[in-house]
Amino acid sequence: MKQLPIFRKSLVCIVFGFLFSAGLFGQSLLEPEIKEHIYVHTDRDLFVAGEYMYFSMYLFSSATQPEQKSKYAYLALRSASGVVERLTLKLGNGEANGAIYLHDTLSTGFYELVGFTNWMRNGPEDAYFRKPVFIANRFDDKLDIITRPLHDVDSSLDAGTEKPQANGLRISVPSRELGKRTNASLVVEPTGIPGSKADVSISIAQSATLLNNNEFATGSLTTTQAGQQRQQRQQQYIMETDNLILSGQVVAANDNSPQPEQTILLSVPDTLPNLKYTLSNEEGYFHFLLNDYFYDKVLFLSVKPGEETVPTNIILSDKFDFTLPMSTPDPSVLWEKRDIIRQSQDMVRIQKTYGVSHMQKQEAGCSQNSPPPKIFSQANIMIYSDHYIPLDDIYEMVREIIPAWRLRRSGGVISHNLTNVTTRASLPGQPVFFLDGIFAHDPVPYFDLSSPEIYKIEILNKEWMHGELYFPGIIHIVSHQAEVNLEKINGKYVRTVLESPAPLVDFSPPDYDRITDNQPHMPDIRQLIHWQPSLRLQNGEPAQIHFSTSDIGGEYVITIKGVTSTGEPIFQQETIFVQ
Amino acid sequence: MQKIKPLILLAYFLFAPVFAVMADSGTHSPDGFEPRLSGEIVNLTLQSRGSQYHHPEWLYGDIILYSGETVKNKQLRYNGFRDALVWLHPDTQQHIMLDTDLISGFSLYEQTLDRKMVFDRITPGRQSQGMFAERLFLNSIALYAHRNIEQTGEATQISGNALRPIAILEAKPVYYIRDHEGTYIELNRLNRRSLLAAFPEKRREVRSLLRQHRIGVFNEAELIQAIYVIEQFLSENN
Repeated sequence: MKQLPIFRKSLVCIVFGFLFSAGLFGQSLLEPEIKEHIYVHTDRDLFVAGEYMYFSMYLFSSATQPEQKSKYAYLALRSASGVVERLTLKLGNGEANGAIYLHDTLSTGFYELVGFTNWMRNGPEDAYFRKPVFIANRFDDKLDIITRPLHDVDSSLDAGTEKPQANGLRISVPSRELGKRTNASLVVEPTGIPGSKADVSISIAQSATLLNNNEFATGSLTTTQAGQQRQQRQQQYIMETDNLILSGQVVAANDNSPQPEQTILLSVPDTLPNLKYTLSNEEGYFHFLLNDYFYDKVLFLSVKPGEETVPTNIILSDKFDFTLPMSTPDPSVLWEKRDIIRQSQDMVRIQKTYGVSHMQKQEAGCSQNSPPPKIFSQANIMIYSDHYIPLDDIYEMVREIIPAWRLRRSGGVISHNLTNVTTRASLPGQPVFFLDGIFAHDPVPYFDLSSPEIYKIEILNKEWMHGELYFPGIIHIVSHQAEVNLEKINGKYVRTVLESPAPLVDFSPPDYDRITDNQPHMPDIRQLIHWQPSLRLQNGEPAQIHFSTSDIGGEYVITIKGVTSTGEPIFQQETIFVQ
Repeated sequence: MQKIKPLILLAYFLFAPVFAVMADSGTHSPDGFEPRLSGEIVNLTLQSRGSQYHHPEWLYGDIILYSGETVKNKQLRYNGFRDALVWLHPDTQQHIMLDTDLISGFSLYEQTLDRKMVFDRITPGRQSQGMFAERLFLNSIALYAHRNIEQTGEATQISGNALRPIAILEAKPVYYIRDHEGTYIELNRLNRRSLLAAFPEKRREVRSLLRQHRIGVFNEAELIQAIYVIEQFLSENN
């Protein structure tokens, strides 16, 4: 056999090595891994407990196809002791906005806003959007937490220092000096933004309520982007492109070892028996894709009885369980702002006294339309207990009015089955049992329910398949007091609530063109005089923004932040004065 | 070495997609996300002359559930005698008569003819419980065929030493036209007269159109052609 020259051998090895690695890591070469980043613009940086924090969220994704981008994102407000507020947000065109109510009980200090998607959970937490905000308790006059700095204040967070580099936008204001309670306008002009479109949000807030921590400034994203590299995790978090995903793991109760191939059942209280199920993978992990039917309902999860080789537990994955500690500035950086914060506290107190709020929830988008995951459409037998004389328990009801249900007690053992609706022969095995919509592992405790406690009994006396699950008939009892009875439900259930996406909100300040009396009795002491969470700039066309000033004079900063259609962050600021 | 090289390359091209799938970035949904089919385990054996099924073999198809979700690539048969969709369970090979009210439609792919049949659940009348009907034409007006199979008689068959009755089953499709207002008009027979009766206000124009295009409406293909022509005429004149 003719020998290959050495360089040709090397070439073959190199080509082979390249091709093999291309195959092994084919995904990274053939289909680049999708990277996502979240950015959030808040109306201000300093807040008082009892008011709203308005925000706009933007998703940057390396995916080119809309179906490969997350449709849901999460925003947490956390303190050093844990998450104090959590929001699920539905992204429309990669954007969401809303408002977080800062509860009166929040203590004074720095908090952190954390924004992420489920897909970003595959990467390290330092790639999440993180931004410090300061919240003062309304009744904390002393502000003891803000101590005199021991050394020179870190001016990087203080307003009025060098402004971050702006790009892509120009703000034109007809007059920089405005009167109180005056309607005014400004013009935002795109000046060579990358891509033809940009979505931005606009805030006009008292300059003293801002910190100079602009994450939207050009160049400041580089560090974060570089930090996001995929971590080798056991669990694979799935991109939420259609619906919300609930994830968890089945583990052995004794040693927390993962339990594969377990069937996890999920149902919610309802007058219809409903069931979703999924299987745990080799590492015991499982995922449920849940539509809006499940929003804000108590989800009952359990492992299908009979499959467990050892007792198991379900551990649900908490999207807001952060491992990275909170990173916040030293409150002493605000030493010079104590008087401003006290003024803000007074203003919020007055607004609370007068019941003034400029936040309005949008109703659209909150409705729930998806039907329940029914396991059958219609029962063969439907018994409404109030059609009959009161009976003491299920045993008596079965004996007197439900001949298709055979229920026997023998030597302390209770067994039951159904007769086939067509053949009248006994169905093999015990029927599955649902109580108020929930798959019940052990029906026996409910056999003591008297007929006045029961609204109706539905029976499907057929051999029934639901996916891969076989049911030798189905019995569903709807009680009058579902909440009470479900508290007593037997079996190992994990309960959780799937929070619905937060509603969109509007900021609605007074319009002084429409108010004839320019001195109404209602105070207008807004430090935030304008908030527009969403504005689309396209084709280089300027946009005019109308706003009205409040009773509070001083310096105000117009801040515009957003993203272009090519995913570039854009930012601009301008200052005006209210006399 | 020269023999090995092509083998290496062949091995790469064979296994590269496998590795690529293994290294999948995970945006794809796991299998457990697929919605579930629900139905009764049945044995629909019927001693009959003629089949109770619209098509003789199990066909692969997709099912659209009432929730709008789609269950893909299942082995299915449409039973025209019971107006039921039967699913062949892949693990147990049991026949599952799917809960009709949980299905809004399905499609069947006939590989031999490279033909896709799309069935919708239609409710032609107020009293109707709804039925599956094959979509033959869909635009501003639609044409459906309910693939009905009826027992038209009874015959006897020798079984061992006994004579047993068997059903005589025949395909009796019923055609429905859904007009632009959503009203269903049943065609009693497959002929020109019944088609004209479905368009009483445009009877003269429809007759003229059928003559002009030389459509006799003697079979299903001609009916589809006729509806296509009528639909075009109606959309141009409305």
